[in-house]
Amino acid sequence: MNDSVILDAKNISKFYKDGQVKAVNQVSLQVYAGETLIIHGPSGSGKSTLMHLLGGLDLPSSGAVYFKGRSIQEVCRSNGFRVRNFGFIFQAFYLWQNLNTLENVMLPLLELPLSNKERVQRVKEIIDEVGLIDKIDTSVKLLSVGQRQRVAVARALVAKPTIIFADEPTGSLDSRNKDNVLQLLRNMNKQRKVTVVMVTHENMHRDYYDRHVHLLDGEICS
Amino acid sequence: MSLFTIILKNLWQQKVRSLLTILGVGISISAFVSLRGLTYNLEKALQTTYKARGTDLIVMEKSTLDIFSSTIDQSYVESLKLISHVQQTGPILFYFYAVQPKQYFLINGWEPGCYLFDGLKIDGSTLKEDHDVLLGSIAARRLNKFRGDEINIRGEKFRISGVFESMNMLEDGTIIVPLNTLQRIKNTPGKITAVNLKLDSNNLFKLNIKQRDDIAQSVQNKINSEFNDLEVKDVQNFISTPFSTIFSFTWAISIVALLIAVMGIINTMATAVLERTREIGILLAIGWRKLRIIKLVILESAIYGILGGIAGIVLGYAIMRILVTLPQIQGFIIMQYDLGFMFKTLGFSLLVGVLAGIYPAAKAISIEPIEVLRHE
Repeated sequence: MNDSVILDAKNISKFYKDGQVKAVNQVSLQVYAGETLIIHGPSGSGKSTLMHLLGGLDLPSSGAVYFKGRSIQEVCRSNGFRVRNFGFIFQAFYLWQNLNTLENVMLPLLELPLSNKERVQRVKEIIDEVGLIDKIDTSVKLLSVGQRQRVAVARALVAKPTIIFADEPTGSLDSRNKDNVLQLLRNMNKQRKVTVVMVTHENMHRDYYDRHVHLLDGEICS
Repeated sequence: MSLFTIILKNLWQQKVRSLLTILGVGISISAFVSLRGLTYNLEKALQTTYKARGTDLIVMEKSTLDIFSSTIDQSYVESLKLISHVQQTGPILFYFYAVQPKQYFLINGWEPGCYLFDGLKIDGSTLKEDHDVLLGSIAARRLNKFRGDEINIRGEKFRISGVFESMNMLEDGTIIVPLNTLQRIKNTPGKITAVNLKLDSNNLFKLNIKQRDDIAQSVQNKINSEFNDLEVKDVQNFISTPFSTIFSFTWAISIVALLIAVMGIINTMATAVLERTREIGILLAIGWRKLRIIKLVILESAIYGILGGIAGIVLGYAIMRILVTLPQIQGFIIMQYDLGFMFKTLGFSLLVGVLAGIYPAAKAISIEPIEVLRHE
């Protein structure tokens, strides 16, 4: 972790139903390059919405998010920006059921100007890192939930992004798989110097993150 | 891996739906192939017949839709012979008669000794008596008759003086009788359907195509100016005029069939896009451009078009093969495989697939990743 701010959210809010529901309210948050930041909070506290806003998936009702000093809306419009800079991991994995491990992990790389050989090479490296090299040709339908989440982690990392956004990445896993995935993310954070922004409602061991913020009713309270 | 891999796996995942869609497109394309193929082959067969015999022009009654509607006085033949460059004339009378129950044949009334007989390879002797007939080889096969046998036309017995083979199968399915005999049977003495003209330009080897065309044009102009009741056409024009009407009909039917194919693909692709809303939303979330999503959907749709096209060509030619063996059609149509037409049909099928993919692709890129994530 260093002191350079990679993401800067300034007074962002997200309202629904003509402002009656305030999912995120006047949140200012800085994410530093190379850190693992946990956004912690109970269900309905607005943490997933905040992550979507930080990742440029949603537009704030007010305020703005900056990536390395540039408006996130602006940079997300440029071709290949999101693939090169952001990786996403979701609680429900969101894998293509009719593709195998290799093919699922390769999906983001189809957006990058690489040869097929380079793509396969990169995919094999990351699949090896997440410990699924023996399942590389296996349909994801045949994998366990823990293995599926590892495929999702590999998919998020394969394009060597700057930041990984993980929304409840362990929400569907048992305790053993939870630890495995958290350790995997932490290792990637340390070894690859990738910034991790993780949303969770669970309490997590201090070893798995550098900093955490607590969200309640759409506002940061600690 | 490429987009193609994803598409093939998508098709494979929904095997039954993919197969039914391809079959649906195939049936539509086969209607187009068989209808277009039958009319095209019929036109080709007619052109071959006339050109191989050396016929340059055909004179018929003015303003009639086709040759079967034409009736002119036989006396015109002598006048036509006198026109410069007209080397030979071949008056003809056509009619369809049943020779056996439900077996209709085109009966040609030809003047014995005219040049039309030159291209026939006759097993037996040519027409000598009023009650002699020549059977085309296919007609003979259909009737199971041989040289020396008898056939019955409108209650009259005729002796088969010979069995002929001509330049094409179309003519081999017909029966030739003396012109005056057919005029008597039809009760139209002195009337004929048309006159074939063979010009001397074919014998002048030093002439180029332009010069030959000029001679044919000069003869046409002469006939058109001198005979108000007559209309003269070159072979190409003579054959394509009635066929343009047939083609219009076949096109109309084909367009309806193709529209059904388009709707089938749209339905399948729209359903597929709806089913894959989550996957497409996630692809957009991880950074796929909308253009790539459009490619994904349109390529899949195009594959339905191409595979449907291949199925349609196979099915269409199979239908044609069956049709040409039916007694009612046998002998009128030559079964020909036209590679150019097959490629054009494939191109057309591809276009059908691409067009059908536009709406589902538009639906796909309208998916908002955030809506998918929020819903989940």
